[in-house]
Amino acid sequence: MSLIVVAKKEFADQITSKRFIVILALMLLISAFSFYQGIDGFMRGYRGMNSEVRLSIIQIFGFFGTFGITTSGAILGLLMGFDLITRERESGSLKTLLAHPVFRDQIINGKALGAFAAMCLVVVLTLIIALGILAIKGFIPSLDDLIAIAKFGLVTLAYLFTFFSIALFTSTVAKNSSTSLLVAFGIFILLSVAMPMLGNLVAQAVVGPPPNIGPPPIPHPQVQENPDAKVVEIEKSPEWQEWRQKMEEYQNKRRAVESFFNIISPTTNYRTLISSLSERPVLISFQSKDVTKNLVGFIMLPVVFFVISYIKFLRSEII
Amino acid sequence: MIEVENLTKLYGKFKALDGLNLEIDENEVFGFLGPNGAGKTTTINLMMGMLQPTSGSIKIAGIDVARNPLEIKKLCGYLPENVGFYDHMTAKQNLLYFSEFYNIPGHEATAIIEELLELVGIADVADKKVGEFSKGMKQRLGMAQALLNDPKVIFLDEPTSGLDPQGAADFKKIIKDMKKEGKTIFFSSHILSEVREICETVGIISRGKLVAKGRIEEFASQNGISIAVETEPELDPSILETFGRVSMEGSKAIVEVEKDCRVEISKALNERGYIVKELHMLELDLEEIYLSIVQER
Repeated sequence: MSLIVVAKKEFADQITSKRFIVILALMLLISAFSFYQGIDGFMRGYRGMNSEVRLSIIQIFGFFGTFGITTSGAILGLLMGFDLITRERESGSLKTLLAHPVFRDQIINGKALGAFAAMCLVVVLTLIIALGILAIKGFIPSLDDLIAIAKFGLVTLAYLFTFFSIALFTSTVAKNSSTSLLVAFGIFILLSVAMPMLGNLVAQAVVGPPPNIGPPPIPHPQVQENPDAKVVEIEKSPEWQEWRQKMEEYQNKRRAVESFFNIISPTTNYRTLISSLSERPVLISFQSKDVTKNLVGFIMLPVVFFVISYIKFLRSEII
Repeated sequence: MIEVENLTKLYGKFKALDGLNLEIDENEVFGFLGPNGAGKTTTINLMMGMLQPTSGSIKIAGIDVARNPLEIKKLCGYLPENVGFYDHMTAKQNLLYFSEFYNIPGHEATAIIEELLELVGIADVADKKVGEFSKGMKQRLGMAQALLNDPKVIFLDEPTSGLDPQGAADFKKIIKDMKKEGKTIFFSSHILSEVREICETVGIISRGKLVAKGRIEEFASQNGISIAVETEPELDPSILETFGRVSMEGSKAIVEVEKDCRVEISKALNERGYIVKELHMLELDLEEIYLSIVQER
């Protein structure tokens, strides 16, 4: 019961806070703008390539949705959690709260639950706006689309929670809110920017430059004259197959090295998982179909941060 | 009502409390004195179940605090030093939030809160955000939250700090009324005159150890009584030497006695034809007792 009391207050605090409203509005605007601007061009390009393959809405979601969400979603998650504990410590309200019949685990779980509910609201609003824009553009989602969109929503929710748990962790260990914010953003940059860059550099150093095999084979003139006809046939040609095989071998080697670093990058894992939701990879070329490692890394990171925050909060001396 | 046995609390290597033993009766107003860092707040936090003791035990109304902290919090109220609230919420919203942990029905909670805000004198700012409150107003709200669950035991940690004289007087009145209602009050303060006015028994803590405990009158008698005498014509000190050691401060004689013997002194002076201008007891005040005990340590 006390858990729900804390969660209800946290949810109300989150959704009425100015920074939440500003970042949410920004996130929705970016998502809406990305969808609105990009959808026509994306469709033309896609149809130009192959009109026989039905356009999956998740591909549009994956491409344009992640564009707005990866940065603004991460910032929202961080801002929702960075002062959750430090602010209460600084103001003395935590001590007052602990004077009433509530366990510490109920406080931290309640706060996480309330914030999670606010994140659900963010994701639902983003999906509603995106679906609305798609509907205006004449796309009516099928049942499969809706299932894929639900998966997209869940992965996005987990992505927001990852950054929230990082911020909750810094809020639990830092002495004040400003230090917590700095450390949280430091971790965000380290995991989302520095680790993939480092992975890239190390992979380049270990695997070397791409094989000198030239650009992909140019489609046959007959095919170019009739673009509706046959990308599929080009893909079946021996030249294309050979080029693709060599590039895949090279990419597999690179990916093996990079995955060691990317496994703890929530942004890379998020993009990989979203990309894997559609039949064709839309975000990452030569993507492996096996995303188990990314999924494990994606789930483990928030769990690890939350568990450390939980233990630290339960053991801290509040005097 | 409160039994503390051999209570020890370590923060790393620092011993904040060192084998504290204490017993406080039901409906007693207990004053807890000690210099900064002596362990007063740590003791209260341990009694409220907000900290885990390194060793020793605390029982309140027979309930073991370490094992049943939630039961203790239902039974007790606590006004912490520098009490904090949610600044973005109003006074009423803050109290309503805390009341939810006691499962008090909404309409009942609202009535209790209105009554408490009236009691502590901030009913007129009930709907104002706490962020706009002065320290004194927060302190008053802190008292209201401590009384929210109609507690049997109330812990007050420096309750009048930050209050103006009127606020301090109001608090003293509230504490006296709580005493009349049968509540047990544990009162930590630096203001000794206040402790003397409100409390019946006093404990003095220094460096984590309880160095003295007893009724205030007992402290005074343990530390000696003096009687000041001034007469017309000026007194011959030898007359009073039968009662105790006499010293002169100007025209005034100070007699160190073992018990109150003002009647006997008055008779002796009358028999010798002296007119008594002044005759009164000089007890050591609490401040002197406190300083003498703390400085000894």
